Amino acid sequence: MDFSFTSDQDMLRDSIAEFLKKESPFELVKEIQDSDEGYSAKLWKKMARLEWMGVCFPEAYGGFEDPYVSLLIIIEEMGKRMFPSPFVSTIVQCGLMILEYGNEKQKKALLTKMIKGKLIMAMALCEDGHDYQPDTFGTVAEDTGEKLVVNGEKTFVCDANIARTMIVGVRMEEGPSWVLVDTGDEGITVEKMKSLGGDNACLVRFKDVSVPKENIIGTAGRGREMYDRIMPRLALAETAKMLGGCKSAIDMAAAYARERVQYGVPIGAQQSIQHRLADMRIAYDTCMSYFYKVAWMADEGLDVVKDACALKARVSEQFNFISYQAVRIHGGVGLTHEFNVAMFFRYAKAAEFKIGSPAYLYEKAAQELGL
Amino acid sequence: MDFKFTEEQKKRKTEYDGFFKALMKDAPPEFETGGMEASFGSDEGFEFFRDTQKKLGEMGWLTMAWPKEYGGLAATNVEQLLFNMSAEEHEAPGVEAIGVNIFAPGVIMFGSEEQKQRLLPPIARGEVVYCQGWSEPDAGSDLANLSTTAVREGDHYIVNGQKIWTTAGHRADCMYLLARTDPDSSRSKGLSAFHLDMNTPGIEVRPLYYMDKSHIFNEVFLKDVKIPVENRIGEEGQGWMVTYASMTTERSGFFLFTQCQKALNRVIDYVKKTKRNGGYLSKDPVIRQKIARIYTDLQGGKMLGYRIATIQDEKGIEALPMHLPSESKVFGTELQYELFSLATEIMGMYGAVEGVTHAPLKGMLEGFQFVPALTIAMGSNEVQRNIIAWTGLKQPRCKMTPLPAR
Repeated sequence: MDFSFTSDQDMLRDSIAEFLKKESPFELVKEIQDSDEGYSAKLWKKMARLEWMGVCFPEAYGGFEDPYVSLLIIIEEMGKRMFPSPFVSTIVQCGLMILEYGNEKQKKALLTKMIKGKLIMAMALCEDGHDYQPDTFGTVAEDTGEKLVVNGEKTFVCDANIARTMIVGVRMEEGPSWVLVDTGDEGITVEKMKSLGGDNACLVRFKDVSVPKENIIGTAGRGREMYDRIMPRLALAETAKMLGGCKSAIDMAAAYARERVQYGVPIGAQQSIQHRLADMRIAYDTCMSYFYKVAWMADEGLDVVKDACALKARVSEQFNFISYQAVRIHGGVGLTHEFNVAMFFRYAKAAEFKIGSPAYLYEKAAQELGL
Repeated sequence: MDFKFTEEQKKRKTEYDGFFKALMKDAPPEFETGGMEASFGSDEGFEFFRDTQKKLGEMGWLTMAWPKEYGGLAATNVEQLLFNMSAEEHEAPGVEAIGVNIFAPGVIMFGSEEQKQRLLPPIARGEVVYCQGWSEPDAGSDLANLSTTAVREGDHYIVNGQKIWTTAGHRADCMYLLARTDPDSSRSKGLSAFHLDMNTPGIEVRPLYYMDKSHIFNEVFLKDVKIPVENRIGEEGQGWMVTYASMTTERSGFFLFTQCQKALNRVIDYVKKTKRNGGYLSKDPVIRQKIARIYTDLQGGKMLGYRIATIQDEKGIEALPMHLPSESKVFGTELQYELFSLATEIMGMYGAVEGVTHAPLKGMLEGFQFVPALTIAMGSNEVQRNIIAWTGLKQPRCKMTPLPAR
C-alpha cells in the first residue's frame, strides 16, 4: 500500500503553502472576510499566473490533466489558512459540472477563461426548504419556445456577488435541469448574507430572467443525475478544506498549550489538556488517513458516493469538535477576534452544511450500505 | 499513491483464509461466542487453542514476523496484518501474542546464543504457551513501581512477590517475568527479565474472574520460586530495556478494526432482516445514522492501521512516530465500545442476555463487556492519550505530584 504523493504533488503543496504564508496572513484573511467582495482580486490574478486553476482540466482548455488528488491538495492548503476565494465555487463546483456535461462551445468559452483566472462562477442549487436536492427545485425555467424565463429564489449561492456567471438549478417541464445565467442579467438581485463561512453566501432572486436555450448544460431533465455524478467530488473538496482547518486548529492549540503558563507550568502539562489534544489528534489522523484513499478511489473511477458522503459528514463533526476544543484550550484569548483560532470554530459551523448536513450525508451513505 | 493490495498480498490472504476456514470447521462450541474465554476458559477450548498453535507452528506462520535466522519468514508488517486479519475474521485462536510477540523479541534482541537455541524453537513450533508476569497490584499503569524481588543466590534467583491480570496464567507453560534484582533500586532501574517455567515449585495461580465470570485473568503468587541464572534474559538491571523489544513488533492495532468490521457486518445483516414495532430496524433513521458514522470511523481506523504498517515496512520501526500506534489503540478500543453498544442496542431487551441460546447475535454482549478490559490493558487509553500529547503534540510531561502526607 502506498500512501505517498508524487514529487510533483509534494512540490505543488509546498508552493501553495509558501504562497499563502507570504501573501495571506490571517490579518489579510480577516480583512478580506470583512470586505464586500470577500476575495482578493489581486491574489486571484497571482493564483491564475501560478496556474493553480488549471490543475485538473484538459490540456485543450489550458489545463494540466493532473489527478483530482492534486486539486484537493491545493484546497487542503487553503483550508489551513482559511484563505477566502471563489476557488471551490468556480473551479470545483462549476468547473466539474461544465467539464462533465458542457458542450464543446460551453467548455471552450468557460473553462479556458476560468483557468486563466478571468472568470468567477457560482453554483445556485439550494433553496429554502430544499437544501441540496435537485429533485425538488422550486426555481422554474419556463420554455416560451424562443427562450427560457427563470423565476425563483436560491439561497447560499457562494460567490454570487463576485461571479459573472452562475450555474442555476431549475425545474423545467422535463425535470430538474442546469442552466448558465449571467449575474448581471436583468431581473436578478444578489444579496450577500453575513455567513460565518467567509464564503460570500448570497440570496439570489430571479424575476422573469431571460435565458437563451443554448445555456442549458447537458440535457434538460437530467439535472439530478448530473449533480449526483459530481457530488462526491464536491464533498471531497469541502472535506479537504475542513481537514486543513483541523490541522491548523490542532497546531495552534498545541502551541498555545506549550507556551501558556499557569500554576507554574505550561497548561499543556495538565492531563485534561493533554487528553483533549490527543482526542483532537486522533480525530484528525483517522479522517486524514482515510481521506486521500477516497480521493484516490475517485481518480481510479471507483464508486465513492458512500465514502465521500460519510467522510464529509464525519469530518464536519470532527472539525466542529476540534475547533471548539481549540478555542477552549486558548482560554480567554481564544474568544477574541485578534487571536485567529476562533476563525476555525466559526468556519466549522458553516462548513457543516455544505453539500449536505451530516444527517443528510450519513443517510446517503446508509442507502449505499444497503440499509 | 496506491491503495490496492498487490497480487502477492491477495494470494497470501486467500491462502490464510482457506486455512482458517477449514480450521474453524472443527472448533468446539465455545468458539461460537469467541473471545479469550473460548481459548482459556474450558479444557476443550484450550486444547483447540494449543492444537491451532501447533498447526500454525508447522506452517511457519506463527512466527512469520521473526527474522529468518531464527526460523521466521521476515514477513512484512502488511503481510502480518493480513494474516492477523484473516485469523480475526475467522475468529481463530492461537495467533498468540505473548510468547511469539512479546517474549521472543526480548530473547532475540537481548538473549544469549544458548537461550535463543533453547527457548525460541519451542515457541516457533507452537509447543509452549506464555503468560506475562509484569503487572502487580501496585504496579499497573505505573509498572516501574513493581516490587516482586529476584534475589541472586549462587546459580539461582529466589523470587518472591505477586503478579496480577495474568492472562492465561492458569494455562500457560511459561511466564515472562519482570522482577527487581537490585534491592536498592527503585522504579525502572534494577529490574531484570526472566523465562520462568510455570511448573516450578512455589507458584500459585488463582483465578480473577471477569465480570461475566469468564476465566481469563489470574493472580500469580510467587513464594521462594527458584529460577536458574541461565533463564535471565539480558543483563541484570536491563529488564526495562528488554521489555521495549516487544514494541518492535507490528504496531497497527489492526485486530481491533478487524473485530469491528466483523461486528459491523453482522449488525448490518441483522437490522436488514429484523423487524421491531412494525418496521425493519434498517429503516430506523437513528440506526441508519449510527451505522453510517461507525462505518466511517472504521474506515478511518483501518487506514490509520495500514498507514502504520506501511511506515514500518518502508522506513522501519525507528521512523514510526510513537503517537500513531497509541492513536490506533485508543481509537480502535473506543470504536469497539460504540459498535458493541449499537449491537447490543439493536437487539433490544435481548441485548442484555448472555450466551448462545437466546441472544440473537452471539458474542456481541461478550464483546461489549470486554471493551473496558481493552481500554485498560496494553497501556490504558488514559496513558496512551498522555503519550500522544507528549510525542505527537510536544506537550510537557505531566509531573505526578504525590499527595502530601496527612
